Amino acid sequence: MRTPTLLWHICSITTIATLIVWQVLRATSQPAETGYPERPIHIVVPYDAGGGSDTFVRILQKGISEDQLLDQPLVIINQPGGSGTIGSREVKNAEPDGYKILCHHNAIITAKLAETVDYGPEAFEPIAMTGEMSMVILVRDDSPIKNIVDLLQTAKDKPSTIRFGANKGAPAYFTTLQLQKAMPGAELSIVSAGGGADRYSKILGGHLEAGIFSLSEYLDFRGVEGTPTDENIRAIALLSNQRHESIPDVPTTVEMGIPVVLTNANYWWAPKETPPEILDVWANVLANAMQNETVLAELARLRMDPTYDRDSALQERLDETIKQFNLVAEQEQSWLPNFTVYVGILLAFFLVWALLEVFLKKSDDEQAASPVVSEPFRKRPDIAIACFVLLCGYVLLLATGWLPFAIASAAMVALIGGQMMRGAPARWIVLLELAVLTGLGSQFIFTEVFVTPLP
Amino acid sequence: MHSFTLIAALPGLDAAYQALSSPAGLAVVAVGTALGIFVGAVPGLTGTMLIALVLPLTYGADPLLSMAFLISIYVGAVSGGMITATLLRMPGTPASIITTLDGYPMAQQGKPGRALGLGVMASLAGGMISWIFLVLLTSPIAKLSSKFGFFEYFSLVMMALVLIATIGGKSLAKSLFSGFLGIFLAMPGINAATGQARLTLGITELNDGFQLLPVLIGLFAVNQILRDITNIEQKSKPIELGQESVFLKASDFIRHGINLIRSSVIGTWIGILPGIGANIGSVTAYSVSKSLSKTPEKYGTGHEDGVVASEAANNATIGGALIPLIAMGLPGSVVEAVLLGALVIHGLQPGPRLFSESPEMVYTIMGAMLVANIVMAATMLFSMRLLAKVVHVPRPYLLPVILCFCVIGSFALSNRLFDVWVMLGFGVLGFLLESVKIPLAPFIIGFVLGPIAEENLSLGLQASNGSFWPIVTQPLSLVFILIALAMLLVPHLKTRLSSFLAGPSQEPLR
Repeated sequence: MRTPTLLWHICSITTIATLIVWQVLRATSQPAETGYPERPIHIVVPYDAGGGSDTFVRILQKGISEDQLLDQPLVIINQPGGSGTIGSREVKNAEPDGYKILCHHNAIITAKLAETVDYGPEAFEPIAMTGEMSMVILVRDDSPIKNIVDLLQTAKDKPSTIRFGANKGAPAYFTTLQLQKAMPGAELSIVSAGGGADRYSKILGGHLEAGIFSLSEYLDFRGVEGTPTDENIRAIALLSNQRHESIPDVPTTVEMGIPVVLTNANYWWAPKETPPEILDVWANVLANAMQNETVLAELARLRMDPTYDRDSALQERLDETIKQFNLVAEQEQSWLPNFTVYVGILLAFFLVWALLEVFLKKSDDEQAASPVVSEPFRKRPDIAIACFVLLCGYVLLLATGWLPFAIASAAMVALIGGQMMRGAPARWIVLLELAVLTGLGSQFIFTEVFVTPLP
Repeated sequence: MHSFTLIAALPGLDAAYQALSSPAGLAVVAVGTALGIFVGAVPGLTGTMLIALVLPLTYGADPLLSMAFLISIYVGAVSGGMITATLLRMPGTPASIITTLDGYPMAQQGKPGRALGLGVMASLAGGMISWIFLVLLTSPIAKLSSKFGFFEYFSLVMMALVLIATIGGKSLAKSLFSGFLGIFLAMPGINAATGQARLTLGITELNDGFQLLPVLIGLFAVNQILRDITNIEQKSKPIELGQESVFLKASDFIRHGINLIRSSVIGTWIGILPGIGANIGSVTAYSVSKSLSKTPEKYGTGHEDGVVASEAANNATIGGALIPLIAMGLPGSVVEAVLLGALVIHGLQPGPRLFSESPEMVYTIMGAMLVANIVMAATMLFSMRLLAKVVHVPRPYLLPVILCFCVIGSFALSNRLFDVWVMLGFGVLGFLLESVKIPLAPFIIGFVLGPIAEENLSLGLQASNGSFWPIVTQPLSLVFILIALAMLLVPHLKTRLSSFLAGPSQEPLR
C-alpha cells in the first residue's frame, strides 16, 4: 500500500511543479504591448468546426499568421447552432473593443427576415467582405429540365410538382421565392432538405427534382466522365450575371432572362460602436491577407472568388442584398401540423395515466429487483445537496470570471471532495494534489495543446 | 496480408500500405486509438470533440497519417464509452447509452470482466463486419442509401422509437411518459422544417434548443454522481475481476454468433444512412434483438445479449458511416463532417471523385479502420484489469474530477456556459425522475429520435404537399411501419398468450 502512494506523491508533485513553471513562464513572457491588439483576438465562427465557414476562416488565419499581419494570435471559436444566431448574438453583445470579431455570410441578413432573431446587419459594424462563392441550380442528369426557364415553366404548368431543396429562412430560400416571382404563376414545392450533402443525396434518389447548391458542392459532387445519367447531377443555371470560368458551359440566370442572382459572401463584423481605428486595422489586415499566396491558392481550390470590398463598396453591396431579399420577405404561414401540441397532449395523457397508476396501485410490489443485496447504510442527501450547491457556485464563478479557470477548478475539486469525505474518508493531501493537478492540467491541455478557450 | 499482385493491380494501395506499416503510421494509429478510448471513457469528453480539437494540429502534417490518426480516434472513442457505462453507469459517449442497460447490472452482479470482455469482442466483431462491407460493397451500398426518402427515414426512426414502450421498467405508463417527455424537451429551438424558433420562452440561448451532449451528461453522469454521493456511506461490494477470464471462449462466439452478425449488419446499415449515428445504431440493434429474443424479459437485468447487441452495433456504424463518406462525400454525422473538413484542408476533393483521384487516401482510411479496431481490442483486453480498478478509486477523488470534465465538455461544445447550466438542470431532472422510478432510457431515446422523426415527416409533407399517404404507399416505408407495429404488439400478445395458456391461476410473467 505504501509504495503506490509514494509513487503517486512523486509523480503528482513533479507534474504540478512543471505546470507551475509553465504558468510563470507564460505570465512573464508576454511583453507589454502598446496599442491594439494587446491580447489574442477571438474570431467567432457561428458554425461547426470543419464546416465551410470554419475552413474559410482557418485559411485566412493561416495567411494572417504567415505574413505576421497582427501582433497577437487569432483564436477561432466555434459557436454553432440556431442557424448561426448563437454565435452572431455573442458578438453583438460583446464589448466593442475589437477582441471579438464575427465572420458570417448572408444568413445574418435572412435570419432577421425569417424572424429567427430581431436583429440584422444594422446591429454590427461591417468591416469587410472577403471572398464569395457562386451558386448554381442542380437537377439529376437524366432530368428533362434543360434550363432555368424550363424549370419555372414546368412549375407554372404543373404547380407544386417540382420539389425544390432550399432551407426555410436561409438565403437560398429567399432566392427561390425570387425565382418564383420572376415567372408569375410558377409554384415550387420548397423542401427544407438540410445541408448540401443531404440535398445531393435526395436529388440522386429522386426525392427532390432540383435544388440550390454552391459551386464547390457541385464540382465536388459531380461524378467522373461516363457516370450513368441517373447517378449524376447537372447544373442548369448559375445564379449570376456572368459565367464562371470553372463551368463555362453553364448559362447564367440573367442571360436566360431571369434577373435573380445569389452569391454566398463572407462578411466580417464587429460589435456596434467599435472604434473606427480598430475597424481600419482589421480591414487592412483582411485586405493584405486576401493578397497572400497561400490564401489565394487555397481559395482557388475551394472555388471561392477572392473578391474584397470595404467602406462604401461594402455598404452598397449590403444594401443591395438586403433590398433583394426584402422584396420577397412576407412570411408564409406554416401549414404543417403543430407537432408540439400533439406531443404535449400525449405527454399530459401519460402523466395522468402514470399518476393514476401510482395512486391506485399504491406500490403493490416494491420488489427486491435490485440484484445487489447490501448491508443497510445511512443515505446522505445532505452531502449530495452541498456538493450540488458547490458545483453551481463553481459555474457561477466561471460565468463572472472573478477567478482564473485553474484556481476555480482546483477549489471546486478540493471542496466537493472534502464534502464527500464526511461520508467516505480519504486522504486530504492526495485530494489537494489531485485538485491542483486537475485545474492546472486541464488548463494546460486545452489552452496549449488544443488552443481553445476555457470559461 | 496484401499480395504483391494486388498492390500492383490497385493504384494507391501501395502508398497506403507504406504509410500505415511505417513505424510512424503504427504509432499514430496506436496513440490515436488510445486517446480515443480515453475520451470515450470520460463522461463529458467525446470523440467528436477530440477530433475537432486535433484537426487544426494536423494541418501541417502528412495527409495520410493525419487521416489515419483521426480515424483511430473515432474507432477508439466509440469503443471506450462502454468502460464507464459498464463500471459506473455513466455512458462515456452517446454511443454507449444502451450498454448501461445490461452492462452495469452485470458488473453489479460481480461479472464486470465478463461484461467488458463481451463488449470488447462484440465491438471488434462489429468493427470487422462493417469493415468488410466498407471494403467490398462501398459503391453499390452508397447508391442504395440515396433511395431513402423523407418518409422512409421517418418510418425507420419510428421502428426504433417504439422501443420507448418496451424498454425500461415495469410500468408502461411511466416508460411512455418518460419517452414523450424526452420528445417534448427536444422540441425547443429552431424548427428545421420551418426555420422558425419555438418554445424558447423568450430565452435567446434556447434558439438552439437543448443539445444532446449536456442533456446526456446531466441525465446520466451528474445524476449518477449525485446518487453515488447520496449513497456514499454504502460499503461498496468490492468488484473484482478475480480469476474470471475476460477472454471469450469459442462457445461464446457460437452462442452469440447470430446476435453479433445481426447487430453488426443493423449497425452498418444505420451508419450508412446520413443524419443518424452510433447511438441510434445501438438502440435499433438492441430493440430488434430484444423483440426476437425468447427471453425478452431478461433484457435490462444484466443480459449478455444486450451488451453484445449494443456494442456490436455501435462499432459497426463506423464502417457504415465511412461508406457514403468515401463513395459520395456525404457525411453521416458531425464526426464525418469534421473528417470531410480534414480532407478539404489537406487538399483533397471529397465526393464521388475521391476514389479515382486519391485512391491512396481511400485505402488509408480503410486500412486505418482495420488496424485501429485490432489495436482497440488488444488495448482494452490487456488493460482490462487496470481499467476495472477505476471502481476502486475512492469516490472523493474520482467524482469531483469527473465533474470537472463534465463542465469542460459541456462548455466546449459551443463555447458557452448555457450548456453547462443545461447539464446541471438535466442532472437534477434525471435524479428526480429516477427517484420516482421513471426510467431514463425511454427519455433519451425519445430525445434523440423524436426530432429526427419530426423533421423527416415535416419535410416529407412539404414534398408531398401535405399528404400523409406516402407513409404506407411507399413500399420501404410500409415495411418499416409494419415491423414497428409488430415490435410494439408482439411482446404484449406473447405475454397474454402465454399467461392464457398457463391457466388463470398463474401470475402473468410481466
